[in-house]
Amino acid sequence: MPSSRGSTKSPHSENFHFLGTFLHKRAAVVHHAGVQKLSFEQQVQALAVQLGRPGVDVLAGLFDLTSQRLVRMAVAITRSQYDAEDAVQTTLERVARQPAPLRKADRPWPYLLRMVRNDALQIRRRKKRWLGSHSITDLVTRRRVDELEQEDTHRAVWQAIRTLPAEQAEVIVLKIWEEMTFGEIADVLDASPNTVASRYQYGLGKLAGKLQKTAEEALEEGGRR
Amino acid sequence: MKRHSHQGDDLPEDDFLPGDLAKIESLVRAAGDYVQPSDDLRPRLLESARGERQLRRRRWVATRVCAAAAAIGLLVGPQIVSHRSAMAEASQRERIARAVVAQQQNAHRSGVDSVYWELVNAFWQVRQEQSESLRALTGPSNAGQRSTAQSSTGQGDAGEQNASPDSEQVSTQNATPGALE
Repeated sequence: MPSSRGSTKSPHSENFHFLGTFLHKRAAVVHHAGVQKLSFEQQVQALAVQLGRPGVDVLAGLFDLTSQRLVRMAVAITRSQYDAEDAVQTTLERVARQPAPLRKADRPWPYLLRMVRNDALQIRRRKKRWLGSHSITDLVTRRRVDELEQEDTHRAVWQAIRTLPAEQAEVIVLKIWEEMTFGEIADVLDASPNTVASRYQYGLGKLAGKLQKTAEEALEEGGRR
Repeated sequence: MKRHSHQGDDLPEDDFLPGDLAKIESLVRAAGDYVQPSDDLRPRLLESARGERQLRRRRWVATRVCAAAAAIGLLVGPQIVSHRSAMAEASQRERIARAVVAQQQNAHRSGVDSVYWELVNAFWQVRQEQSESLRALTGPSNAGQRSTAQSSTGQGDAGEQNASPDSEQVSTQNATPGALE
């Protein structure tokens, strides 16, 4: 394959450059198609391996793949969309700057989650006094047409999650949405599996109380109307 | 304590996930995609990463340039020093040469270098005075012939100094036979 970085400027160098770019993009498309067949964790691992390679924009792919989940995790800890995005941005910038730790990690996805968690906790500690508000008006949400009926429920769920202590909220996020076992969650959080399990239990119990209250309030409002 | 397994985990059983909690879990699971990253997070992140990459590249280039400059300095520095000392020596020689030339010009201006020509002129003047005194002794009639003989033979000096009246006559006769006639 002719190099697109040739320093000599022959009459055909531009053609070679275009050919090189085309082949590179073609290889990226083929690679992307191959990556899509993998599981989520395997996709993250495949991208992490390529991090830091020159000429390959892996960061954008990693963002597209993981940003929603990372922001979700960070929102559960910081309770704020802006702070959560700051945490995710800080983490991914560090990953772009120093890709080696993520690349060398046995399981890059839990490692990435732990990085986001640490950054989110740091931001949370810095802005602790501003965490009083539990409104979800700052959250960027997705409203599907077929899920409009459930939007109130989703909103109530998120409002309830943001009232939980961060230790319980993060366990619920990792257990329910990331579908991790308590052992895996314990690795991410540096805690024992039993501690994680009890946090989950308590957190879910609190959620049940709050969601029930919300459901009752919604029912009452419906009755008044 | 009884334990039960939930997705491969050993957990305390204490009423874990009864019917209500299972419903809550499913409610929470359904709300997983509700929160999204904002639209500007992606460009913000990529722009920031690109800026940082450029900054790192600039730093890398600057470091390499500094290292190359230091290496060139180490390699070329001693040569420059030696070249400068050589130039200093050359300029010293040049200074001496200029001083000599200036001295010669001063001598020329003050006329010191014309001493040799003055000596030559003085020598010719002395010779002229001697020849005139000899001419006065021999008489004014032979003066023109003597001068002619001197100029033609070129050996008049020795002959004039040691000459007797007879020999001079002989020589005069040889020199100008036509004059006797």
